[in-house]
Amino acid sequence: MANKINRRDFLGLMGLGGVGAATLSCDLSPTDYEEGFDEKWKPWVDPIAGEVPYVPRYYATTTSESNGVGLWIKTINGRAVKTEGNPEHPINRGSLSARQQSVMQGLYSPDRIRKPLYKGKPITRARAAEILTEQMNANKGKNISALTGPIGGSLADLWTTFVSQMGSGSLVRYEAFHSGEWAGASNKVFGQNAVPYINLAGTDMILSLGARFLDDWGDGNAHERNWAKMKELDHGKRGRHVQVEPRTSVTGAAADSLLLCKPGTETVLALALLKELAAGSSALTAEEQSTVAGLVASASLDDAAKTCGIKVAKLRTLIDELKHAKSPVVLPAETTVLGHQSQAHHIAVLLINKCLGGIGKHFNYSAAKPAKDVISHRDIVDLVTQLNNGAVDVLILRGGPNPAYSLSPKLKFKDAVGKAGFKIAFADTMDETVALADLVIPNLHDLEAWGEVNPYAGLDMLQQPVMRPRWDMMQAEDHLIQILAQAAPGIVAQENYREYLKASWFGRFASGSADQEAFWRYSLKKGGRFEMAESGENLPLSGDLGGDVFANVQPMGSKGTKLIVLSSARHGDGQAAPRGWMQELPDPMNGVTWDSFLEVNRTYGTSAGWQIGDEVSFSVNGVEVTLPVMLSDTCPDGVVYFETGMGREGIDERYCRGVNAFSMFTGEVNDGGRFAFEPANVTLNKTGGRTKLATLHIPGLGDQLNTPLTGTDKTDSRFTRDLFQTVGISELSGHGDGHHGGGHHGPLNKKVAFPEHQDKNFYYDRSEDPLVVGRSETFYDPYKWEMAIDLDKCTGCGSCVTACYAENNLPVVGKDQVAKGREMAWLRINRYLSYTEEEDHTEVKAYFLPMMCQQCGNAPCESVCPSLATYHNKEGLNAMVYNRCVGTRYCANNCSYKVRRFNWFTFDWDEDAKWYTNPDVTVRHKGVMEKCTFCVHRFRDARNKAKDEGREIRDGEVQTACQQVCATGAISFGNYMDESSEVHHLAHDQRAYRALDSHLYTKPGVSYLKRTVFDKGHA
Amino acid sequence: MEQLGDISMKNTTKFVSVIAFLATVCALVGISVMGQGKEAKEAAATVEIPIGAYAPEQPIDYSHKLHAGDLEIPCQFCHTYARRSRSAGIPALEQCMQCHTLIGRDRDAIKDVVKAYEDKQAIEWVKVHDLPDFVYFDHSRHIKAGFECQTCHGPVEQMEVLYRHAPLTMGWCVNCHRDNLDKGASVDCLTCHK
Repeated sequence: MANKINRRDFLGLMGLGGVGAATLSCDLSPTDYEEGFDEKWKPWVDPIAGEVPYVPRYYATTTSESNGVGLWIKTINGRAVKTEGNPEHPINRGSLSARQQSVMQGLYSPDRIRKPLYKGKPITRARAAEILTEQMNANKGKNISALTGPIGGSLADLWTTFVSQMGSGSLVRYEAFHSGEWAGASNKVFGQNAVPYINLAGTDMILSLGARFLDDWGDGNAHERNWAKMKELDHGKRGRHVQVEPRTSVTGAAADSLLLCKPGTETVLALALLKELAAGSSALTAEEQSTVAGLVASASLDDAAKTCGIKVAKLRTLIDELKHAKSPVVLPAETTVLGHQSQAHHIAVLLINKCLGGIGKHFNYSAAKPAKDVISHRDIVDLVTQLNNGAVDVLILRGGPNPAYSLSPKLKFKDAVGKAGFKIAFADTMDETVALADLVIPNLHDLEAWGEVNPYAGLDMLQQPVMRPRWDMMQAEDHLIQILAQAAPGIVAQENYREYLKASWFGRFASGSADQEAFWRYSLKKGGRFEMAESGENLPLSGDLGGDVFANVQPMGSKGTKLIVLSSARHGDGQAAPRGWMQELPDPMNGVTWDSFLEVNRTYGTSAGWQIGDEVSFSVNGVEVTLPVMLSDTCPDGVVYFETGMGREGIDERYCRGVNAFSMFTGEVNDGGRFAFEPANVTLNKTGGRTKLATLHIPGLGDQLNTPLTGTDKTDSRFTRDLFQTVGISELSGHGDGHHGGGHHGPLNKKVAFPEHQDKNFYYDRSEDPLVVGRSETFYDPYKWEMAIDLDKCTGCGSCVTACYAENNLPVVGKDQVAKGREMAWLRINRYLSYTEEEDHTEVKAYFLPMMCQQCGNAPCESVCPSLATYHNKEGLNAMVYNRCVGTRYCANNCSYKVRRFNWFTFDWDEDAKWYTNPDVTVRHKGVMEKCTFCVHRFRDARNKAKDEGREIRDGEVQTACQQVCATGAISFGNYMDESSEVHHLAHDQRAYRALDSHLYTKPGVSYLKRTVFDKGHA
Repeated sequence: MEQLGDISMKNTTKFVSVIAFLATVCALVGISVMGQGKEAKEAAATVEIPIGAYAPEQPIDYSHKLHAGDLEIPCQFCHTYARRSRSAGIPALEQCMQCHTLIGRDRDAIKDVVKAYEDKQAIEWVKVHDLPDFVYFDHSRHIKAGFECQTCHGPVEQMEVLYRHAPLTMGWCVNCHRDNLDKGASVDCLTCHK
């Protein structure tokens, strides 16, 4: 090697030549890089108390859109940069869903309203205040009504006071998706007009009749956590999850058993199950048994099985398993498949759980949402009627819920609002509803304002400002207090909402507390008051179960293809649609980004001559809809699926995409207090149009979503490489920590000079490298960072993907680039399908596997890099030095896992989006390869702390961003060399394997734990 | 406007400000006495700007020689963040005003500072020491390891006009890191390029 110039030396010499030439040809000014020269620096005029530049501070808070979870907002240099979960919060315990994280893009949305608007034209703040006062004075005593989101606590008090003091109007609360149907059903069954807190903790069997509790149903964060706990193997046994649903959802894919039923038959099934489970149930008194028996006398399991399309034997096994389970839970169907049978269905589900002994433990009425906070959609229908009658003089809209978007066009909400005398909107972000107002007064975003969220009794969360308002504006409640001070002096004693909230907080919770100020600070620091009752009473059937509660139960609709509409976990009720992260996060089941699509069974679609992206039109509830089709193997024949949240209008045009699912609703309210939608018969007609759908795609592998897990063609290496592995529970030995069967990866010896199997010269020989002379080049001492991912716990929800975007400043590239396979996600969720031939059908199962850089010990990417930009570092990381990368893309070509991402452009960030970039992560430019390095910047603080204390980093001290948000705890991370660490333990679990290791010998640093499957014979 | 959050403890802050004020007054008296004494004796040596060194014009003619040299104010008295953060930071204007509410109000440069403070207009300083965006550098670690500010920033206490002393090139960084491996310095690329 000494005699010849190797490639790297040659490049080095070339580099020197370049520098030499540069030195000779210009003056001596020390500019060895262009950027940052003459950069200006503006220090603070007055420092913020306790603020140190670049040292993050966290604020416990929440927002009205966060589904009742606690947030920790990370702020750096006085600006909010990242949403993290509050680890103390009883519902999320530090985890966050993808949508909950996207609140940061709401704060910095380009649609934020910066100036007051009058009839659509910007005006000054003073002029806005004048108009507001004028209108309030002119209309005092008349009907001043307010429309807000689901506010509670002191917020609801203040708005109610305002409305009642100002005139004869009313306060209407609205939210597109709510859980109000439980209140009516609970009232009928237990005489409790409240929404129970559904708690899956401690269960060993979950039967869901359709509720997608792992993607977007109820308190998903808590459900996911408890579901994962249930799936943990204990002496070779674990709980079971059975999902009955019309179309495979993420929850269905994660279930141990998925029973596909015909849409609209869930309630019939629930009644049959109730009949079987009530008979002889020890949880019911004799009297209760006869009451229930009377209600379900006409139900029959055989008929129900026929109606649902599920084999009766399966149902019998299922009933048997439920009866023998220690603490089973049965969850209802989704409201949008229940139509007008919602209340009957929820009553049946409550009764089933009563029979199974789950009331109190799993359905907790001691921590219920009280009736006063329960929302019904009837209220907004009444408001529309009032508006149409010209009864409303002033309508005040509080931003957030967007009824102009999420109400059925049949209600003609926009026309009705036009009939109000004057419309005022207090809103932070422009949307379809705010656009209807005459006067728009900018409001603070929830992260800049005070507030309160009260999802359940005993759970009251404080919302505090985490940063100074971006623009000079006041929160809506402060405006109300100012108006009240003039119009009705003395009603509100406080000067602003913060003081009002504080007084209300003391009044409710600190009556006995000596030091109220200390209690307030304690509450703010904690995030509120977390005192939910652990469990409730096992209530008796003391409601009003008249003989006709199940009278309207029957299978819905006739035969034919049925359309199901469900809420989207990514876009929700549309509020999260104008957010790049949510648009670029692929739909888990189909991988579609940036577009609305209609999920159609592949066989059905192919036989009709359709291809992915072909547009079809259909008519539903009198509305004509055109949508591109996505052919899916997991969607059963006879069902087409569509989700809510797209089709927004009048906002940033990049996000005005797709079709609004709410346009298909009839506007009728069902007996559960929600807008009814039932699976509707549709006839699909090809229009001839085509939309190219941008789906997740791996270069070289084609459309990876259609890569089968198993296949008959053994010449195709995709089928034989065992990327996703499963194992039968009976194959596992009882203890779960042996090392057999699973991985091909032998234990690594501690303190090896180089990974043992390798030729020392495999790496760039550094023995004479001046960098290492005089040093022993010891690898993996004391750290080798590794990750373990439990495939049994991964639901494929994608919150880790969004966390990675947020943490590492990954650019959102847009539909065109995603379609070219150029999305920048360092972490993606691979979906694999398996096909099993059953007697009369092919069973299709979907599996999810999070794939990020595997930090190979024998990395194919490293050896091909001509500039040593990527190398194996001593701590087991496959390091990537961005400024050293020259962009040959050899590494990406050679990567066996396709996890390297190339910057084809220097991606432009919106001015607003720059605010939430993480300053700890390197800036990348066009022509640079990038990838996951296990959040290496996060090690810094832990390493420094450990260094200062003279110790090694402890297990659990460093969390990666993806691990932090995962509700199921599927991702573990730590030091493999620490034999007591969780990751070491998991890497030697009998379920552990390393992807492709046995084929390519890449020695990955990520262990996957095989998904466990039950033997046949279960329901 | 509401202070950020309520985690900042108001009473504590007040207490700290009072103490800080008293300390400042003591320090000021000390500094002015010391300064007068020094002036009477001899001023600290002044170092010329080397030819070609980067010494941009600043909006205020601030002299490090006067403050850090003649008056012997320790670097971290003003650059308070250096030991706590990756960024040493330029002190907030309020920090200047702690002394200059009393001292040197008749000088032109100080008048500019006072005006900026009263108008709440931040002064735009030109960065003399600036690293590219792909480099991560942490002041606090270097101070914790016991390095003098002068090791990288040169004889600042002798500079009338601040100039860039070190080349701040990668080779220069790595050389020092290599010499200090025993102190725990690392030469892994990921240390600075995350």
